[in-house]
Amino acid sequence: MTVASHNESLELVGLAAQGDANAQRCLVERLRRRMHGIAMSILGSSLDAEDTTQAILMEILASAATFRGENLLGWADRIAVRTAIRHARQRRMRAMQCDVREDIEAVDDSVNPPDFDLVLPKAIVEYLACLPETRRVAVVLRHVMDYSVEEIAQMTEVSPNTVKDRLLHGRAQLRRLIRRDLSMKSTHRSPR
Amino acid sequence: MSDPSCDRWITLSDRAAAGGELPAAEREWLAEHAKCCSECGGESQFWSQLGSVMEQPEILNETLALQTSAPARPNAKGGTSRFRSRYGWVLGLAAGVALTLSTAWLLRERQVPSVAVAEVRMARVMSIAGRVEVGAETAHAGTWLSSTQDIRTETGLACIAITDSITTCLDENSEALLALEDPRHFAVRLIRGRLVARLDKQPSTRTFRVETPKVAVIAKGTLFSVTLDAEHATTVRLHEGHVALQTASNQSGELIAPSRAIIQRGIEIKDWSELAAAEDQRLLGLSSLPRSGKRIRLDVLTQPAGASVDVDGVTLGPTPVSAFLTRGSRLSVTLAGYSPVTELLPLEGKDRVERSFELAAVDTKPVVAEEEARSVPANAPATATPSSLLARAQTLRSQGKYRECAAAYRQLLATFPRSDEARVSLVSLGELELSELGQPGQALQSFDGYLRAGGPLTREARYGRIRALQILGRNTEQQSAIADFIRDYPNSVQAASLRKRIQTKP
Repeated sequence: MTVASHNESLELVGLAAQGDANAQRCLVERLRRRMHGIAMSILGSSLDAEDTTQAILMEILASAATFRGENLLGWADRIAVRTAIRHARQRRMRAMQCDVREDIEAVDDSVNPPDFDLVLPKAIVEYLACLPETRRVAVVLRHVMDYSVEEIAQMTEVSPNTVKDRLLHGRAQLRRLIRRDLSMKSTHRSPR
Repeated sequence: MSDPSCDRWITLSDRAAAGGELPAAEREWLAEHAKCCSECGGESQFWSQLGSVMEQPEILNETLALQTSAPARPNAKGGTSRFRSRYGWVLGLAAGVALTLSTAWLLRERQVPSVAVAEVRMARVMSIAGRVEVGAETAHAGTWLSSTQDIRTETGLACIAITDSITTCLDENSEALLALEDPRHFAVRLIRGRLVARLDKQPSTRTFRVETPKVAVIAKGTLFSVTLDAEHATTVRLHEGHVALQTASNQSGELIAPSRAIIQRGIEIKDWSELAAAEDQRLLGLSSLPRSGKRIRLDVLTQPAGASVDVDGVTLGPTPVSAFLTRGSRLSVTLAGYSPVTELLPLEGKDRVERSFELAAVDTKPVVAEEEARSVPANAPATATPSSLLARAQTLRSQGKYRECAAAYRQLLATFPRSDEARVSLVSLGELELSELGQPGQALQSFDGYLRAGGPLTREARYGRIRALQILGRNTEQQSAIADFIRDYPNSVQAASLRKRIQTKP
């Protein structure tokens, strides 16, 4: 994605705010891919992400009049994160759908490993979906969107210590899943 | 994970992730360890991949290939990441340049179908049943609609989700036009018939309105119905929240729930009528279907078509039906003249459930004959039936012909006094006498008449009776009736209103 200069962004978003259809389309085209990534990682599901992406783009167009020429992507990201978090909350996502304490025998072994040395059996989004919403949001904002702990605290309206706590617990949870899957794969490979 | 080296790796990488600075020596050690330890290396690649999601959302749907003896999978995002610019050595220091370029190129070339459409789509079908035209020939739950979509229901029902915060459900024989081009001002233009709108609180940057030729109903976070009759009189029934009204002649007003207004030449505020509000019940139920989130699409077909489909008491409409549900256990399919079907729906863990039924005809003639012999008096016209008289009364009511409507109800009561229709019509007649005809004494008689035998409208009849007693100034009886009502229906909307009335009384 090409990042527009401040002036260009300001003009583009300004036109979109006035209802210019071309400007709105252009803005949407620029941001859609990025917004989809945010939606998908925060919601942990590509099915829900499609709806959320639409909602995010809607919010961006509806909020266009509030854009003051700051960094376009940063401005859009904040709207996206806010909207995606709201969606995630609304959905009351089944927390800990795949509990890390689940029996190792219950792990789906039906996935045929490709010809790599090791392949995690689940898609990345499925690992993210294993986290409770608050932890997932912290992990995504930190590792996907590169926000600092302080920035995440501001965005999610909690203290930096809470963010750190969520982040470290989220990382620990993902770590257990990843390492468990890796060791399973190693075990299955070794007799061959 | 008892290896002390791995424990150290975890501690240091967590510290870095939480914003802590690491000395150069520790950073180097982290990178070296990730290269020789499959578990720590695998985890480091996972974090590295997460960093590429903003540029390549499709990565999220890929499984992560970990090459234990090779460097971490390259990061296609390059140097745009603050996190990776600081700690990239942890995540993918050993990534080869050639592999980086080739992988990035391959991934960038891939198209993501879900994000390729340029238009922002704001409305999609939540449920559709029976004969409905929404542009697409085979619309189903999930079909996206254009911002200016015309929706026409004939014998069917349709519910549309507008973004994730507005639901609009259209009754039978209705038509509405979406006007969603301007994301700051959404509108639905009701051309005929009735709709129910259910809104979550809207952002401050957006308004939502339902427009008819006579009035615009402007809402922010509320639940209301708008009915447009053949003479362009608009009835607004507000079930929750509040709305602003703005007429074509620039008259404005506000409604606070529960309330209703009829807009013809001006805004005429009417008493809340539970019975009239009951006309919205079917659409109110439909409007509570899920707009977004994890849903299951249910498709029901029957032979013959037109059977009514209910899931856990929510009427989805006549078949063919396609609707989003979050849960549901009991599916009922009914069609006059055919055996009803009831079954438990297996929805757990599914995205879509399709059910198809061939309904078995039953011979209803003896039952009908027996019923009519019981209820039709000797002097009744040969063609009149209780249901035809009730339908006539309802039509007259919807046309605003209240006196004729009352006469039709009375005719029904006189000719088929023992029919179910006659019993129900006592409450309708009472409401009419109370709200439209200014006859509280007769209304009281009608409500009392219904309550003598009781039935499903007992609550509405008791509430109507309280209002009639109030108008008649029979305060002692009214107080007693209110106390009994609140005791028997403590959580009802009417009870809340009655409590307020008691509190505000001097």
